[in-house]
Amino acid sequence: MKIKAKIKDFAGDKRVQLAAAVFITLLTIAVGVTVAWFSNNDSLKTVAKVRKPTEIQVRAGNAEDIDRLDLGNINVKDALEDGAELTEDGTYVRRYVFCVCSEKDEYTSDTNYTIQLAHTTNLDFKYSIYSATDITDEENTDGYVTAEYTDTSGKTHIYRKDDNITLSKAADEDDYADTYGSYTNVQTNAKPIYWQSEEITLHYNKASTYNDTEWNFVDFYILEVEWDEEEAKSWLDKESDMVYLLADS
Amino acid sequence: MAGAKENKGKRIKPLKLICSAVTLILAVYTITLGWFTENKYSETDGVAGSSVSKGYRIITGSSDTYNTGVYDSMYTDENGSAIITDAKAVTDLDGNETKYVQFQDTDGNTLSGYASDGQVISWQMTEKSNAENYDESSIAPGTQGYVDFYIQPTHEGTLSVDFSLDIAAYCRVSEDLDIESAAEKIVENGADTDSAQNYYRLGENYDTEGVGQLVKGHIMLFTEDDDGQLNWLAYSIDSSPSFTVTADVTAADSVTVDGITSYKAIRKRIYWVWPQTWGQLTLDSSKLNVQDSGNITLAEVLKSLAESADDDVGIADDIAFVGLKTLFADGESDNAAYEMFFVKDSTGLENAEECMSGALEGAADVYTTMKKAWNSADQQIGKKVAYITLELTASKG
Repeated sequence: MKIKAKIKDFAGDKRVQLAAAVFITLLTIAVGVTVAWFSNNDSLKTVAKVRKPTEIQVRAGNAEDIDRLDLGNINVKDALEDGAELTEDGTYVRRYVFCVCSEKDEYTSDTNYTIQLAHTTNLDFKYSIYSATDITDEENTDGYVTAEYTDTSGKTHIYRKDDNITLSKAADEDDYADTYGSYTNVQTNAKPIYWQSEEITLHYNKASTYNDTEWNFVDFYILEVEWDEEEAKSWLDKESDMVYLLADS
Repeated sequence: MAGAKENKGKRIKPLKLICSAVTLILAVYTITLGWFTENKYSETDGVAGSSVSKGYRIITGSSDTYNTGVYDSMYTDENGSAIITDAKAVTDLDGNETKYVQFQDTDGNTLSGYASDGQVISWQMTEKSNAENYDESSIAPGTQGYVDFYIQPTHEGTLSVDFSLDIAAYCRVSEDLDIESAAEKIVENGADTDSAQNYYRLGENYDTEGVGQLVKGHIMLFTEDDDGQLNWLAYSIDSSPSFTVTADVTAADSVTVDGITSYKAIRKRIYWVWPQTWGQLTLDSSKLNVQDSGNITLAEVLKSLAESADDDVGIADDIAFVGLKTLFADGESDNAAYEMFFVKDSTGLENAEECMSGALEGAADVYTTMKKAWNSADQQIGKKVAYITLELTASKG
């Protein structure tokens, strides 16, 4: 109360002086605190990069769902009637189209990957993988080795067989040991057997639309199953094999 | 009339004086602030005095070769100036200008490194001590490492320094988010080029689907006690992980290195780990080791945390999975599973312990849900976050 009364008694200019004095004092405190805060800080900092997860998929021809990739039955007895092709070397082949692709979104980027192939060995088939190009819309397809794929709407897509994808055999003694340890009585056909391609960065069809979906890239491949007619006669009664196709990034 | 005029003149005089005084003070204030702000990031001349008065200095690394993180130069302010600077010359304890500080640690090893006297400097990166950025590699789920730094006392007496750590995520930010306040950014391919790509620091108002929070939950930080016990530096909903280093500095700690007398520096190691699976966090058989020595698994760390937690404080407070909380808050996963782990009473703690031991009824379902949530969060982080920064800030305790 006393202070208030005193302030009231002050002349106009003294009031201004007082206000200024209070203001400056507050300012000084603010400066003091700020300075203390700055001078008491040390920082260490570093930047690390976050690795992007790669989202690649193995899909059927025309980038359709993998369910559509069906090796089905291979009739070696009536191979030609069953859609197989007789090659110049006298072997029969059946070709299946699949693709490795990555769905387009804001964050995707190109990735390298390897294709892995593994299969059981009941049947004496030879499996190879070729890169392929969609030539469905090309008018002249003469002279090309092709594979066909029928999509869900019944449309037939034609793929040209390009380069062979070298698959190096990766199964060795180590893989055997990983699976069976020191156990030796393993039937030959039960041994792990698989192949792996070199790292692939093809990405033929960048930013393309297939199957009504936008893709960051779509790489088509042809899986070729090959057998010799004479040899096939000896294992006609065998039943089935399992084939695994994997894309690993 | 003449009297009135005279009176008016008298009144103006003090007003003028006060006005100019205010202007002067304001100017000093601005300059001082500007000077300090600038110092904080770049220049060091003259700050050495304040570093001595603080009673400590922070020194990076302990190798003969100073390595800047390979991505550090991409980290810039709104003017495109690098925020993390290479070490500038500092004034050593005897008043000499030096860039490279020789010091001795508490084990008696003579080391050298760069001192951070009131400025931001890059953390020293080596192959052994790194955040996976000593070369052009990157971090991902399943990676881990550590970064070291040293605290060198500059006075005798009790030293107490508070440290806080912060992990910030840098993302491509969509147009509609307010990034005005996000001055800090990481620029790929050079700022002035056509191919420049900006990644902005995520903050409260512009966190892309909570991914900044996920990062804080998934990259876990630990400090190590003197007896090797790990302490999890967990984020909680509203605070950054922090810890305090205290020491009684006596004349016996005084050492002379390279002709300069100083005190033995205390090494502090920050472990970081990005668990690949929820299982690594919760299962006894977890194979992911936080330390090189490999004697403590993450599951053990969490277990000891759960055991030492107060009965009336739930695991929600003690084990603050900020990231997972955000994930569940988004309704991306089964809320019931979240409740089992993170309810804010002792039930959550008991559930966590029972779940880890497999005794909890329905533990398998909870495990499956959490496992999926963890993976989905990792996927989100990987897709959206391009870079992270790890920042350590020291202040006098």
